[in-house]
Amino acid sequence: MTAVVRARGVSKRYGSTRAVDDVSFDVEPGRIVGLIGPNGAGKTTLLKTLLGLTDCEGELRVLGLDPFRQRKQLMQNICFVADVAVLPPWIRVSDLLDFVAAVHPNFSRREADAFLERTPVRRDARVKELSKGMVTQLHLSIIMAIDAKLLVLDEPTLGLDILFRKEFYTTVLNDYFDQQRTIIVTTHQVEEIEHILTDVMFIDDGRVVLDESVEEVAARYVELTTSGDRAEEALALQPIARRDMFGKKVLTFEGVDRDRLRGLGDVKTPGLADLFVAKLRGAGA
Amino acid sequence: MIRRTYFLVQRELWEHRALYLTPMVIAFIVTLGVATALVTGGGRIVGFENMVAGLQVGGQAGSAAGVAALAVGPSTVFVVGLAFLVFFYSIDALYAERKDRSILFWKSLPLTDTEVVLSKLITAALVAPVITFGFVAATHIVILCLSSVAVWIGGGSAWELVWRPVPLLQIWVLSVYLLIGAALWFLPYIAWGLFCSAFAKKNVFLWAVLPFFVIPLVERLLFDSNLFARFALGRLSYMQWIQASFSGDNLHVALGDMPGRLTGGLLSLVDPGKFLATPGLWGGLVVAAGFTAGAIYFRRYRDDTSNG
Repeated sequence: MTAVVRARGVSKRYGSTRAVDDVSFDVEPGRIVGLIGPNGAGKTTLLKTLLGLTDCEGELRVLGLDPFRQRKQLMQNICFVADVAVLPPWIRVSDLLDFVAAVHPNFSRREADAFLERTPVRRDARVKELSKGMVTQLHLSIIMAIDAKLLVLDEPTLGLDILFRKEFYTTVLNDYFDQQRTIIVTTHQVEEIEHILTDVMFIDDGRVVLDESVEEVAARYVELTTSGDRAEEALALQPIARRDMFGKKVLTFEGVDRDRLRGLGDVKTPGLADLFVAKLRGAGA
Repeated sequence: MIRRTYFLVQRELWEHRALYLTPMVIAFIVTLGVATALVTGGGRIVGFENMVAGLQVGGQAGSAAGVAALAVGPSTVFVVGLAFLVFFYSIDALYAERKDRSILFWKSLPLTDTEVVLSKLITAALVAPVITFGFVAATHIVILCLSSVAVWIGGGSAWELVWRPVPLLQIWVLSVYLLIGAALWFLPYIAWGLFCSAFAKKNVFLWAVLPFFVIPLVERLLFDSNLFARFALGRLSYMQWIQASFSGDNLHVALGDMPGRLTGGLLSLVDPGKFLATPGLWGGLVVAAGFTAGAIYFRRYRDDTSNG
């Protein structure tokens, strides 16, 4: 199978700043990729280049197409949610569905209606009259009804309360995702998506600093909680990061044998948020 | 293709309800005004009988002129309303979607920027005038009906005094001719409005309007000339367009003869050939194409939704 996304030396400059700096990666079909980075790291810019919203340097293919130049064809097979707040506030629910049905060849009105049946969203309501949670459900009903190969989610749950955030990902995962489909997602709330990802990409300062599957991450990185003499011994093994917690030392190791560390304290796979900090801030943090 | 275009235009009407609410309100006010005039004038001041007698004395031409003035006069109000409507629509059309960020949703659909911008141009130049014309025509009919009632009360024949003398169909054909002409003639301004709404970060209104004041001023100071004013502002004053739309060298004579013409050859005034042969028309369309292309370019490349 060909890669859903193939990027080689992709850069995007705004004036003198490089928002995306010589990035290369592949995304294979059937993966759920988490794109993780701090504000201003270039996540959104990278997604914009993937979606053909902005031009870029380097070689970029999404579903085999040049995203910027073949945007219309591309958007027939991509769904994206920038932020649920972007549905036009003045439109009526039924009109919105009519409109999407008219312009999107892969949209199934029937499926969208079926999805909305299960929600309190009224068809004759305008978007601005709906609660933020209901707007999410409406947006989801549209996404779920589009037969797309790639779903791009950019901070999709920003500003939602926890119930809807949870529901959002559950729906996407259960009703949408399958082996033919691929999802790329960015969020601040790493913990929220951690358990659903198959792949992780860390991005900082426009560069990809980590691009691995979740299994690889588990195999390569180890977090050790230890104290006292054993901590000294562990520090000699050159952890990539250390932090203090309740009088204990928490050390993150890359490529160090798990069994060897087991004798020095409690061993586990680091959470993505901690790993992210470890990778980015390094031993100095 | 037709379905897409239909829904793209439909979307504009959903968003900008003023496109039909404005002429609707004008129609209501005009009708109310005419009804009031008929009731107070016919009922109290002149009396319905005297009014009918006056119409009968005036003969067919007089009757036509009177009723036609009643019917055509209000059109001016509609046209002024339409001008404001189209102006404000065009400077908002590509700005509102950036302001409420819904552009990110529209861009998630398989639509090209060209399609979207052209749908807005069509809405401003074609759909808005057609809607307004619908209300104008409906208002004409309502006014004639009200006049009929007044004539009946006065004991006259509504057919003889109202419907037969007024060349309603000719008035409508003339209106359509003028609306199409206006759309083509003023297209560069509409395209300019769309361009500003696609390009300005904020204060679209100022961007759209200020150049018409600043450029002539700068030109006068620097070059002591008034080329811009002659082209851009001269075109905006509708006299050039009216002059180009009708036959005859002296427009005032031609229009002054209106009541006489109303009975027969209203359309004999119209001269599409002359209009199409006007260089200013084509020059304007080239300028309009340029601004439209600019609007498409900015919708494509403008990237101010950036947040990380």
